[in-house]
Amino acid sequence: MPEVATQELVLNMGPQHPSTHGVLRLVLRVDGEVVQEVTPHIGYMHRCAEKVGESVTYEMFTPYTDRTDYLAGMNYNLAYAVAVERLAGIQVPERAEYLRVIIAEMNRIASHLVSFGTYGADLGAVTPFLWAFREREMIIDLFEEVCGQRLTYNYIRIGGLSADVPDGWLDKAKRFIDYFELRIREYNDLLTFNPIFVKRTANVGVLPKELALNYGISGPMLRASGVSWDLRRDEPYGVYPRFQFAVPVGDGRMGTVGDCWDRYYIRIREMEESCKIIRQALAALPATGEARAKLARGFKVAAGEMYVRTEGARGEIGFYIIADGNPKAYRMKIRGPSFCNLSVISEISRGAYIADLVAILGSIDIVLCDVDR
Amino acid sequence: MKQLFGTIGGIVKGFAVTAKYLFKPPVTVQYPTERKPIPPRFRGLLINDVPRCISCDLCAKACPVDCFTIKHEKSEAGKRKLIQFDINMYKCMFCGLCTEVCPTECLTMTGGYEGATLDRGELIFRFVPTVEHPANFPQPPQVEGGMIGSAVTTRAAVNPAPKPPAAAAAASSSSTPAGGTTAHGVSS
Repeated sequence: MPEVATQELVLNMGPQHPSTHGVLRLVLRVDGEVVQEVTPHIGYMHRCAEKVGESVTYEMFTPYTDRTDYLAGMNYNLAYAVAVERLAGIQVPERAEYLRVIIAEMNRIASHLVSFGTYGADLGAVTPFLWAFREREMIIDLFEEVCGQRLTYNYIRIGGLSADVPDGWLDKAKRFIDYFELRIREYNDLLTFNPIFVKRTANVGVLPKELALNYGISGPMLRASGVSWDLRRDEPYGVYPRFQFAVPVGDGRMGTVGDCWDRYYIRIREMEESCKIIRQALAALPATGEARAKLARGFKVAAGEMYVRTEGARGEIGFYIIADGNPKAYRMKIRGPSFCNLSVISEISRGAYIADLVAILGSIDIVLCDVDR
Repeated sequence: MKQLFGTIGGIVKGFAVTAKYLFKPPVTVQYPTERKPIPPRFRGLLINDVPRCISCDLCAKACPVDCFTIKHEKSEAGKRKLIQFDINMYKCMFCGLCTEVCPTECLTMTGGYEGATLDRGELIFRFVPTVEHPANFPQPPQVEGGMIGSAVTTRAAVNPAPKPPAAAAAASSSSTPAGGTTAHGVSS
């Protein structure tokens, strides 16, 4: 019987797609069902954030940083605030520093909850999605009490916070952490160690350590490949040096080091570690203090340049700011972690099925606004 | 065989977790028949108390997206009279920066978030009625205790009044000498 002629097919996983986590266009070259090459086409969410950074003053740019990563807006606020503070030499009050850590870690938990929930939904498990959002709703309600918005906070400002937390908020935060640590156990019972989930994610999309370092991967994705690197511990900022927390590293217990299951499990473990950090910060928080350093309206930053990197929920958020003595920046470059993390997708999905590609894309945990800015 | 039991066990454990929630009440809020309560600091639709406005234009300068159109005219006494105060709500990003700089706290954010309209022109909120255009802004939702405003993101909260020094002096004069140094002549 003669061999059947086969042909590679170019398939478009278009910008409107429920599993691409945003407006991402993936052009796949497939041989049957097996992916040979993936070319991501980005830019559908480009909103000229960096150009806006040159057109508005430093204080006015803070709301734009929320929108660059709408799932972890506080972490992006914090990254920008730390960058401008280091450039301008602004001292942040102690109480504000501790509150920033609490808020940023709660936002990290909220962002990882979305990652966890949508990852289950990508693979067909719809229940964890609703559970993740139920817990996330509690965090967002706390944030709503503190700053008035649910996703675009504009709360962590240059020099501190826009306002101190309301009375009783710290107790509510503590109660939430007590409640949430029990929920993580439920997630582990429901999804993490579920045999079907393990079958779908173990040994899929293996990212070797050398490849991860060469591509500039950062965040949970890098740690899942076996590299113990966390900017909160290794290049700390704020009051992070005062907290004890473990940095989970992927060990390939379900498959290979650096597979999708490792990336997913690192995020679950990071949620647990964030809870520990929040508890320590709540205990060590100074009872009184300013919420923000005094800054002039439309303050000018002396000429200079600075690159500051902080650990966001998705990886290393970098702000490279060139100031020239004006109230507006000369250049505001944002290094988005999702951009670098997404660049490796073609390498790690060679030889995977299209369904595995969905699993791999979900485990990278991108936010398109972060990829495109 | 052992793997089969392991697999079935793992799946049954998941079912046990979800079965626990089968008998708990759902957490869904049935919008629009129910609404979640809004916290006091909520940043909703803007409202301007025109009699208190001094047309200083600080809000317009603070806005990142330039959604304010403010015009005033100088009266004979030299005071400013506000003749136009428009906010383009379709540009507004609800950041609250304008309410923070307002010196008289006439510009606040209400608890209103249901701002959908059928016409884009209705999204230009006009707070000063003129002959051509009547005032066009939604009344804030009524809640007990008065209108919700982002009271804490106004200047009074960002720059709190300094603590009176009399309290510190009274404390130091009544401090007991037991257990170490007294706060003698130390000002806080």
